[in-house]
Amino acid sequence: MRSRIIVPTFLLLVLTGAVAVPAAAQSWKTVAKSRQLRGQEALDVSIHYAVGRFELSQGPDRQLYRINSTYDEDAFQLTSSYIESRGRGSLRIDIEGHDEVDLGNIKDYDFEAGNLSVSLNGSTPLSLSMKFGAAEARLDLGGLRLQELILETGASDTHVRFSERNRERAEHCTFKAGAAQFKVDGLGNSRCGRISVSGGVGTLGLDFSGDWGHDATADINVGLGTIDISVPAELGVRIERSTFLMSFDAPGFEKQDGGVWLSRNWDTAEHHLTLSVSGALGSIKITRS
Amino acid sequence: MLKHMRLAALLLAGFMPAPLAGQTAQAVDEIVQTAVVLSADEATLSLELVDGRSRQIQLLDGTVYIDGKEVGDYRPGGALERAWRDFLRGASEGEVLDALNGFAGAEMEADEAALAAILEGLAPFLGEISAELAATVATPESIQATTEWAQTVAEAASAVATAAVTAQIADELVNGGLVVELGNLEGLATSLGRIGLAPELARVLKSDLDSPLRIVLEADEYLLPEGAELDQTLILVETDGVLAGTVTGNVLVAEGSLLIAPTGRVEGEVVAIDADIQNQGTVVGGLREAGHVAPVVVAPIAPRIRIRGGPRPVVNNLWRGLGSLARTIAMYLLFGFLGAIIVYFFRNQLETVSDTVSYSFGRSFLAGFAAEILFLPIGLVLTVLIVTAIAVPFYALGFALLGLLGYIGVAHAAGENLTRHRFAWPSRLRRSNSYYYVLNGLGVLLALFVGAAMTQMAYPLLGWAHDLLIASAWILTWVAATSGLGAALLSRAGTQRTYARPGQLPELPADSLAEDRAPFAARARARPRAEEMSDEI
Repeated sequence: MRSRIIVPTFLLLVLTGAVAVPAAAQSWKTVAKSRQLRGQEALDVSIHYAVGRFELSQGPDRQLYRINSTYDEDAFQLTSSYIESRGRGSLRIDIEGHDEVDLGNIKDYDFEAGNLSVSLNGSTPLSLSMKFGAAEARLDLGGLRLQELILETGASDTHVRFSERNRERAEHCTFKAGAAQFKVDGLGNSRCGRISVSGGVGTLGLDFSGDWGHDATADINVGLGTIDISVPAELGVRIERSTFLMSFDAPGFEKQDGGVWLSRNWDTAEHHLTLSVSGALGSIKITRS
Repeated sequence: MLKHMRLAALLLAGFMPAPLAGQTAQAVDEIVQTAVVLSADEATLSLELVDGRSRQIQLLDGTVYIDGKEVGDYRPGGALERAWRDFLRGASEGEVLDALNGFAGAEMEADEAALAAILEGLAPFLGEISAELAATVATPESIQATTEWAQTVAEAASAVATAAVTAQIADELVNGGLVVELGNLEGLATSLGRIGLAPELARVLKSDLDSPLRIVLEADEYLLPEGAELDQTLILVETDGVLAGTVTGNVLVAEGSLLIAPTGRVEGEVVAIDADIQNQGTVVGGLREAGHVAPVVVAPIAPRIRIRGGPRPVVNNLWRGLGSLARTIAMYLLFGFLGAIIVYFFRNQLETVSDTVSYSFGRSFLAGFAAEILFLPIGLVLTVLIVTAIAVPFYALGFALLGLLGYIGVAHAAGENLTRHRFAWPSRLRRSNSYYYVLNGLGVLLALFVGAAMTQMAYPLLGWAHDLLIASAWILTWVAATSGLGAALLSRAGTQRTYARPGQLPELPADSLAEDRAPFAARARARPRAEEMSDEI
């Protein structure tokens, strides 16, 4: 008797549930913000982006910055704030997950549909600090006035490009990659005096081509993975190697004492790059282009 | 009715669309920030002028709001919403002027009232178009709602000295909203946190417990004029403020904006929570942004995304349970299909793996566990040693195939043991084939998942049982996969019987012998039959 009641009730509930509950949908929200350039003398930019596609590039001359973002408002929250004091602006952008994400559906989640696009003014001196989580990032920093750059990535695929010469001399550029595919092109255009690159696990691709008008040093450290470095032929290059269980391939360089390699034009080159390479497991390949 | 008349007056005056463009040309230059929000049910524009004034126009769920106040209705998906969204898309690209022309020129007769309200809202940003248009829009309902919310705040704080909806207080100008003066601040932060204000706000308030507070809530505009002095800590919540005078305490701005004019001075610090601050004056204590979020470096998702804490609806649980059940059945069919293929092509190897796991279970499990531990390091070594990198895909594939063979082997062993213990001798003979063993064994291995799916349908009631079953199911699966993998390795993919039992006939159970009146004859018949039928279809 009991089963006679339970079974139809169960079937009714099943049918009701099947009809009443649609598949979970993502609720997309688009936010766009822009601020006019009104004589700001400098801009500090801080960006935290957890998941999605990220783009950064130079924007129109009349705008200090512009933000465009599409994200699932059920899962993430965009916070942006701008503070200005005595001509120096501070822009902060943060897209973070909030408390009510249901991990039961997370494997079906379309993370890549979310995106954040930021464009910055090319005539305002910039101090740029960015942290990405699981993001696919494409950054073109060419044509900006970068004074300082800090970029940290998590499990991401990041491609940074200096398509044009940095309008400002940058004292320090720092790149930290977690478990990542990380590539930087045109580092010669960055005008960074000191470049620091560290990677956890993954592939690092560093291209030092560009308009070299200065000397620079670069500290490159990777835990486990592959480092591909390309340096221009006209640049004098010194490599200081400190590795463990890493294959090292640097055709065209002459080995010196103490784990040092020198390019043949070291004494005659107009500008010099000193590479300090260290790592635990993997391979290093340095080519001259 | 009044709004219809305003719209008619606008049309008669030739306001739209051409004159609008001319009048906006100058005003657009004065807009320093444009913010656009678009979602399925919301289309919002926020503008900020160079003098600190700001305005928000929002279409939300069929209602038009200007600076948070309800001013009219619109039909979702109708002409007004479409034109407004087109305008916002243009504005988000920075083309405010062109977009505005397009919006003003669109045909929206059906939504005249709301359109008129929106144009009124935009009017302060478009120059001195019309005194009538620039009039503040406020409804009795919106004032009532603000007052009720403010009373909730006051009651929760339980320490309100004075509270009033004001237009003018002392030297300050407050347009709309609510001003609360708090002298006794004990418990205020806790109370505010209880009614849902940001924890950061509560934390900042706690640091100001020694001085009285002036809180301005949801005001359209707050102005402390030049020469005026406020001997308190000032808190602006969802308010756009201009400070031209002096504040001796701290200033906190939450979800609003603040312009500190060249004559403005703040003796304490200015704290911003999701707010825009422009400082052209003096801030002795400095500017600070609160609500700092921990940086994302390597594992950003785990600390930022947490499992929902609230109860799930019944139908949701039912739906999820059915989904889990369907997935389990699909897994059963998939492994059953793969198992059938393995039996058909590699029966001897499968039986060897099955026997190995049956008779050397401990050894198989340890071997499998060791293999799981070593899998990644060996893969990494193969990867970094360049020459062997090409072998990595084969290594991974081989590992996966061995794992599959092992898991099916465990299912075979489980099915065989079940058949031996579940059925009497004649029935056992009929079921003595590898296909049956594998399908039966898979049923055993996946049974806990089925149980977990069933209990998931009644999660609030049987949540503990579901959690227990799902944990047990995964543990069982891991043990089976590990021991199967180990057995596959020990038997060299089923080619060596070193750790398997020696080949032998099935033993006759004692009870079947007792029931058989001619045991010797029966055994004589059964033995060749067993050999014929064993492991065959």
